[in-house]
Amino acid sequence: MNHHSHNADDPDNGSAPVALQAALAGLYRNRIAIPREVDEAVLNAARGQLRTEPGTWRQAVRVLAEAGRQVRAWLQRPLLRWGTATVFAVLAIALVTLLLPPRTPELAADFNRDGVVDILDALALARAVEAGTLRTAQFDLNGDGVVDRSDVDRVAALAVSLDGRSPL
Amino acid sequence: MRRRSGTAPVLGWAGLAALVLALTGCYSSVAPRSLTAIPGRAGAGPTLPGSLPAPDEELWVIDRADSPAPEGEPAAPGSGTLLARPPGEKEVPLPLRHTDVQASISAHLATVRVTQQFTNPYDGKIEAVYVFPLPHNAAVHEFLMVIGERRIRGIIRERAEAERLYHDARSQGYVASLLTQERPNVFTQAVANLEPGRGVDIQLTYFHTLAYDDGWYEFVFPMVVGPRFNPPGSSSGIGAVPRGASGSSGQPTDVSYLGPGERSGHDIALRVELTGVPIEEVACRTHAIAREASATDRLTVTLDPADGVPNRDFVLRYRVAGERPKAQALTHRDERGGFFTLMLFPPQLAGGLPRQPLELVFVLDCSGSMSGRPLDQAKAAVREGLRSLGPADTFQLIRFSNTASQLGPRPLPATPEHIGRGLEHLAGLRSEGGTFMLHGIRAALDFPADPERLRFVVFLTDGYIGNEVEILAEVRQRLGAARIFSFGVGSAVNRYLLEHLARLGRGAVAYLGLNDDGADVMSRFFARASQPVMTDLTIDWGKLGVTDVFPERTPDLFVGRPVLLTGRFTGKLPATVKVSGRCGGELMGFMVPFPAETSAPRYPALPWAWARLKIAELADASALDPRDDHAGEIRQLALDYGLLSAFTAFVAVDASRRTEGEHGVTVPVAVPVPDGVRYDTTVVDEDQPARTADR
Amino acid sequence: MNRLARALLSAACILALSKAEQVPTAGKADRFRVVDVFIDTQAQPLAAYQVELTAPAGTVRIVGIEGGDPEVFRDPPHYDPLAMQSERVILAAFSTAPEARLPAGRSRVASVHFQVVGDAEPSFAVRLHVAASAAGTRIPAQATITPATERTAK
Repeated sequence: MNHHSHNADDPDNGSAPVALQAALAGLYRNRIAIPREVDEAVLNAARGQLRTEPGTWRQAVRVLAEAGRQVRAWLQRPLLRWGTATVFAVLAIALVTLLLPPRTPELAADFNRDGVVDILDALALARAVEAGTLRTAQFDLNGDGVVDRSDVDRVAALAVSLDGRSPL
Repeated sequence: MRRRSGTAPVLGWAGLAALVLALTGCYSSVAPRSLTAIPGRAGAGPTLPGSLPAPDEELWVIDRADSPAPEGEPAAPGSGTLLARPPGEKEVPLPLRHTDVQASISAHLATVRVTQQFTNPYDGKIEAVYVFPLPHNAAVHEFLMVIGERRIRGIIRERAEAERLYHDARSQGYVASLLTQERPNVFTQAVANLEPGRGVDIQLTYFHTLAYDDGWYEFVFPMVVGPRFNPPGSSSGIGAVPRGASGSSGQPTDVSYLGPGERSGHDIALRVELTGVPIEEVACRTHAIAREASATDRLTVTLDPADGVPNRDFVLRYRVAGERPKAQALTHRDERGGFFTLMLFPPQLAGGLPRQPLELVFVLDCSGSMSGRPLDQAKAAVREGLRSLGPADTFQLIRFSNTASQLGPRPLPATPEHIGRGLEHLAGLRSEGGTFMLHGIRAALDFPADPERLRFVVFLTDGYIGNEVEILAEVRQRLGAARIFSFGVGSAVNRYLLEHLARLGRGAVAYLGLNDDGADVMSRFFARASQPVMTDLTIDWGKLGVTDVFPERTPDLFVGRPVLLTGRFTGKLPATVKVSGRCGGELMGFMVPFPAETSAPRYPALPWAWARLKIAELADASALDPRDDHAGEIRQLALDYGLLSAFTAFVAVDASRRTEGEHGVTVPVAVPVPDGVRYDTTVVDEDQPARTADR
Repeated sequence: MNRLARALLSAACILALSKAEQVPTAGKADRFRVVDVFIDTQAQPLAAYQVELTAPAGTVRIVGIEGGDPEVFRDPPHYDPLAMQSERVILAAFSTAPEARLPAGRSRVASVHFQVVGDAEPSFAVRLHVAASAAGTRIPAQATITPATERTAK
């Protein structure tokens, strides 16, 4: 791990994994100063996307790629330094963390793993319950020790909820 | 069919009509009319008018104010258990044909679905109105109106808005239904525009928590509202009127009672499924039942169809196999946050300490509704109580009806001589007059406290009063350091009042049914009272964020009877919380384990149970202190959780079709007086004021 | 505004509006009305659906949610009770019945009973979230709403 001296003119005071640093060093030749508005816009857009649909890795990759494209537009300036790379790394980690799906009932109810909780999840779960093919207690949404019709009803309730809150 | 033009004058007329409707009230806007009962219809399925022969067709008038009182058959006890119909009993055609109850119990939570089958046995259109009981802690959250094969889910709305929607639909000829709450344990179901021969089913679903006592869980389904007494000047009570005299009580809600010798075709079917735990023993002293165990942890109990007359509470008690229950926590976390119920049992250690001397005050309801078997049962219990006193105890004996009187000016030492005197006094008590409970409360609480003794006030009553709020407010004001133990005596007692009395008085409630052994019930009470009580309970929640715990005032902990606390939490669940309290003057504590969040069962009903408790607590606060108005908070909480409350109601309208003609007359569903209760001493009859005054 | 944010916002708006269908309800003579919700799957059997209904703010009060004509959708669909305090509701139902019992073509799957508020002509918009076959796969379908004709009790 590399260390960098700290001074008043250098805001970069973190570090990043060597591989990431090397990749970023190869990518970005110029020093950049990222305006605060860019950070906020990227984060807000990510959050907005997260609110619209539960987060997925695909969304994370899409947003990160778009963020990269945005940043490239700013690479018309002085030299790139390791500290700048660190900022990106921190930003990337923050975004990934932000977009990582939390363990919420909404996601637990996403039985068919399409990133959305809707009536198809209830249908698929009901079929699995009827067929007795469930191998996991992951869909025991009401936690009563069995996966049954009441869990299916809970998935359906989440599907029709206007604010992501289960009426059940 | 009327059609609106949408112009201002029409709106003006509509507004005027709405005003008239509002001024005349929900059910009084109907002009008195006659209805002819279709012969053979009562108790039968919905067949078309005129499809049956009419050899014994009877004409009867549904007409509130002007109708004569039923002709006087001799006074008799209530219709009782009709395992065999008494000869000569007259069946009255009424619009409620059948009630079906399906209950499922897991842990200490019951989910109950009630289906009321309304049908119109007359030759004209009607509105059916049925006043019925549910457990006072029932969280009603689902409402369905079924018309033929069509199923319409009702909507929870602010009560005033739901009532307005219902009245609009009713006046325009749409089939509609409205469910409102009059008391936490008394509800009104109205169904409008029921056409002759047609039927409408109403299905409602609720959760409630079960009581636990001495190793037994208790599931109760009340079937009839007992006739309430309203003191003079009271205008917010629940009236008791003879069939055909609805609206004559002067109260906003009336219960119509079948007269002696009358019965309706209404019957009830009931099925309870107990799951999740192995059941050791099941007992039902109120009804004949059949039981079937389909697995070690699944037992089904069914009411015997021959015992389907809804004239008393169904009480099912069961004991869970295994070790004695320990303090435990149930939790549930969802999008709304965390919810818990903490079930506290006293530690084993508490059993060995001596009890404090008691000042025992027996307060006996001797009003007309206690006449006969209920008073006999109450006397048997008090007799046992007097005999169980210790030499260091003192006692007082108070009776109340129109007035209150007591054995002596102050409590007497429990010497054999005084006890003998008490027994003699008890034997001479008779029931008559009204239930002026305030007199009894004042007599029981308004004398100086004895610093040497713990005052226990034991109320024995059926609780048939309409001014519950006034009673509870009085108790709160005068309670002091006394503890209240309420004994509900009878087959269909007012459990809301009795349990609130005990809760306010930090005591406990017990029920003495007509088939119970009064001495045994009192003896169990004494066994408990002889054990030390753990008082001043506090809980160290550690880092757990805990709010909105109900009941707000933690009750004392008696042996054999747990204290249930329900609240909300935030943060990580701890492994245990510490409960501390005083027992025999010593500070004691015990730990209550919490389940690990990842593996714990969750209880989706807990949020509703919590919301219902909070609503009850807010309603109590509002009722007991007029300056403390929580109506808005209750309304919002009930709407947020989709719960029925005093300020919210369920409404369903079938807007797909307008029925023809006027909306018809209002027919209250008359019910039998509870088993063991006399019609002639309880049901108001304004044509015979002398009898009314006798209450 | 940042281009990325603009793009995301635009996409969201397009998504929200693309499938909305404005269907006026019938005349304004009666105060209570019903709209029937139909789903047309052409020839494919329908095992599940999810639709969203919205009405302009303050124009209607929902007084009942009814199930549909096909036996498998006769129970009222799932909905959020809190939706009743607003003018937006998501309805959804499914059936695990054998394919032969599932409706195909155009079926009334639900109805919404409501009271008209004021004189304004109420109108609902319907948007199909999803329709699915017995296998749980999405199928092409169209959701429509129409004012109900008078139904006789069955």
